[in-house]
Amino acid sequence: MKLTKSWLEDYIDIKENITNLCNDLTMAGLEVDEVVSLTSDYLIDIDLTPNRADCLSVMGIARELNCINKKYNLKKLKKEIDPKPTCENINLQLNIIDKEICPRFTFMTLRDLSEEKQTPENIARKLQDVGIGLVHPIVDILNYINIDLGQPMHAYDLDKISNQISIRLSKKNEEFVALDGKNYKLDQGNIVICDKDQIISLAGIIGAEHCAVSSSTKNILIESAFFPPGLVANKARSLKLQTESSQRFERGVDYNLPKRAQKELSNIIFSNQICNFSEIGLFESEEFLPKAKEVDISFEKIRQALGFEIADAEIENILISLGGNFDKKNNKIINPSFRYDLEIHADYVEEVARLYGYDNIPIVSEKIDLKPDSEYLPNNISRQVKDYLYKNNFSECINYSFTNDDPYEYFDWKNDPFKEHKRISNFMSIEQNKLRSNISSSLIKNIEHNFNVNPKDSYRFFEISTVFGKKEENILTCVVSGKKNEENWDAEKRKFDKYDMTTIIEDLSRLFGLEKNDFSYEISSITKGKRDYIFLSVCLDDLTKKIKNNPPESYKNYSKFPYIRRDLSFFIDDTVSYNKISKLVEEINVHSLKKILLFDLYDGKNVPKGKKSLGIGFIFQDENKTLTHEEADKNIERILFELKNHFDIELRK
Amino acid sequence: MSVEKLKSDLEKVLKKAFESIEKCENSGEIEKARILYLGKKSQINSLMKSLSALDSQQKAEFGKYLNEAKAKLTSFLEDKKLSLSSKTKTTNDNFDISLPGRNSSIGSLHPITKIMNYSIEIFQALKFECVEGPEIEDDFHNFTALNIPESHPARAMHDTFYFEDGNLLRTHTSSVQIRAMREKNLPIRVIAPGKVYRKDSDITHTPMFHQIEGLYIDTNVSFSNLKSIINTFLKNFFENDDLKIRFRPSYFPFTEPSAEVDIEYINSKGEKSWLEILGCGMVHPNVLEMAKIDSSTHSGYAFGLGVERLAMLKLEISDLRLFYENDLRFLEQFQRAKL
Repeated sequence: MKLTKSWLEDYIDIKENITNLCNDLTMAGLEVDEVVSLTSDYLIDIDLTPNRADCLSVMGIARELNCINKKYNLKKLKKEIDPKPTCENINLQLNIIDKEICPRFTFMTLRDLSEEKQTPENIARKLQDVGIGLVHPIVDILNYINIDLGQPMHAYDLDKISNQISIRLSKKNEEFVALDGKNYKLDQGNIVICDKDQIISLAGIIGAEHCAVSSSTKNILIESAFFPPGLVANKARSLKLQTESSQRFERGVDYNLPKRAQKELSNIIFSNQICNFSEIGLFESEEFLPKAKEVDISFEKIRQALGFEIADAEIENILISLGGNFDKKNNKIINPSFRYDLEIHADYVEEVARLYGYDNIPIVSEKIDLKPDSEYLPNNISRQVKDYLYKNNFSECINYSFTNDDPYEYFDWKNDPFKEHKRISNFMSIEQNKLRSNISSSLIKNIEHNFNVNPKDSYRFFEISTVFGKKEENILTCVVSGKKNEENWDAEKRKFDKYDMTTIIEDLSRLFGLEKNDFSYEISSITKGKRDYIFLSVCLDDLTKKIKNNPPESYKNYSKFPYIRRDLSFFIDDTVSYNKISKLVEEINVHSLKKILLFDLYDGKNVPKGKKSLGIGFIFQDENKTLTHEEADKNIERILFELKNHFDIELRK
Repeated sequence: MSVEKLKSDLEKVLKKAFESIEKCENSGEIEKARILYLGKKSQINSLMKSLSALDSQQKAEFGKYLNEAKAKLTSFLEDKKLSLSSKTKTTNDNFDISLPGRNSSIGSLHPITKIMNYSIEIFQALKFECVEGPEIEDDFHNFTALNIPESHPARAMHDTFYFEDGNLLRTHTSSVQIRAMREKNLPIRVIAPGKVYRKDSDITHTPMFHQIEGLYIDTNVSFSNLKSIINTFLKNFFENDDLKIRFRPSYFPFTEPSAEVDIEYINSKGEKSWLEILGCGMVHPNVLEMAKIDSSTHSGYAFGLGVERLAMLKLEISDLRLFYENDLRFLEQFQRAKL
């Protein structure tokens, strides 16, 4: 809402300087966005909250300032002269199909408008100061009244419409060419005003092009009506059509204004001798006008909600200043017709707090008698994981959850093909038209970006985020790409491989006291362009579940007796996974076997085709006595026997 | 043979042993000395054998004496060996303490994460419990339960991403609070951190951003309590007890009274201005009732923080877009364990 200081001064005395004036407005909830200095005036732009429709006018803001502080004294307004009409009104045959949609409709006629007439100078200046261009003397006056009082009115070229007018709800797919020249296809439920042939305006939003006022217009029909907020709201927005008028109607225009606005118009027309004007015609269904709302007020409840001892007199003064009707004896209050937002007790609590001044309310800390869960597990776990990764050379990324139709997007975090993405109906750009089902492709883009702008040998990134596959899941994905080490005087010079990811999984398992096969994860690689990417993805929801069921950490006695190690080196089919071997060894259940250690893995020279060479150390230790070499030998023979039994192995010399 | 004689023999051996060990200059000489004085053929060992000729009381007395001497000698030998070996290292090794180490293993945490963690820690100290919820929400949890009905003009304030099935991407984490109110027992004191989405993209808006929302519902929660918690948080967050904070009336459909909170911001030129930092208010009775909480016995406050905004202020980041470019030149600046 834009207005000038001098316009405000039509209604109130302002002795404060502009800074204090703006501060008073802001601190009462009418946030001043910007102040622009004009020649001997100020343009004030107020960012109004949607509940304060009553302040969408200069009169409303003046009224509010008077509430905020009585130093903004309301001026006595000049007595309206109520000029005598100078022409006949039309014989309007108005048919309001459903009275609820327009409980109050006033109209008047302007006649014999001459082309030479200009917008009155003081009105033109005010409009220009607040940034509204001049269009046509009558339209300008209506625009002026709209800003001054907050009542939107509409002007029709009387010679282009018939006198049989009906107000009804639109049918689906009805079409309408508005005065902005655009063709609108209506949904059902818009309030439309029609003459006997066609729609002449979209009520409270915009008029039709064919009957718009132009420089050649001679006679005009003026409409000033009340349309209920609930019926206008969303309509303008769904047509992507916000007007000064719709903005006011959807938030709520005072139903007492239509007639006052017509009177203001006749005053201006008369005093500036613009044209002939008629008396005001009125159609009204009082029972459908908004009802005033009575609320029981409890000073005690107000004090309780605000948390401090505010005096009765103070509350009373504030309630009275609101302009409704406060019945002190019965502690009842009725909202004024311009304050749709005052409906329940809490609304009055806010008014008291607001006009007392939020900043004047004391700070009182609460006495809390509750023990919250020490830490929310999922949040705690993802924090531990992030800490571990960041202390192991990974950099955390955060990417948008949106993605596009790139082929790299068509898999889920487990690398399973996935095509049923959640598609956003009203996406902003085609690049962000659906929700990602994996993090990997975002991380590839991060590496590509970084390589382009600032190439490095080695990249390690991770991200923890919700992904949207078959369900919403919280996922960790790590990516490594390039060489394992940045250039260094003593760096191991090899590329990353999948075993680098195995280390991470083993570390994470240890951090949370799990075995690495206790929870689901995925290690994979992709080659894109000249670059290999290796990924590790873990479902944190699953990890959290497993951790929750994990018994707490506790100490177990360790054996104080010496251990004996026996090594086996053998060839085995290279299709046999290490897991199969270790599982088998575990199943043999050798009592004193403490640990197995893969100390050698080789499949190069001197290894038969289709085989690999493994070197495994077996460490034996007894809990209660010193193990003898004979016992160790017996154990290793048993293990070897079982290995030979299950796999085709050949011992190496 | 008397114990006295044996003792004096031992003293002589020991004296000689200590002297010659002291003279050793390398580990080879030490080993020779060990064999000579403690080995199988050493004099000490032969003295050991003479024990058998003594009666039991003498045996005990001299045996103890002998063992102590052996232990002393052994530890002296070990010490000498150690001192020789460390001497070797410091003299022969060219360790350059100024040389860079092998590669560092410190990566970086995203500043959003750091600010989230930092804020959550403050709220946890203030006894708030952390809760999370889904990012795809239904209309009820995102709007209706928050007193934002279909026709409400406030829906224009949230430009929402919708899916074909009518569900949407949550526009605030208040939806998580609704779930908490319906599922938890009173009193409720929670914070809900997470990603939120709005259809908005320009220099000061990204379509995805992060919020931390807080909610406290109990008997007798007041606006002055809300002022207190916001003051405490902001002063802790900015580590400034003199931080100037102001509460301004505002409007949110889910709170009544509602407030926006500004902090005084001093720019590099020393100019002061107020900067909007968060929105808050007393939970609207309709919201309580919809969550089946009796608004005549219970009241509450709620607040919502924009994490990006806090991060920009705290870490002096000037451009919002930096957060989502994931450029290492940006990310790598956030290596510290604490802010």
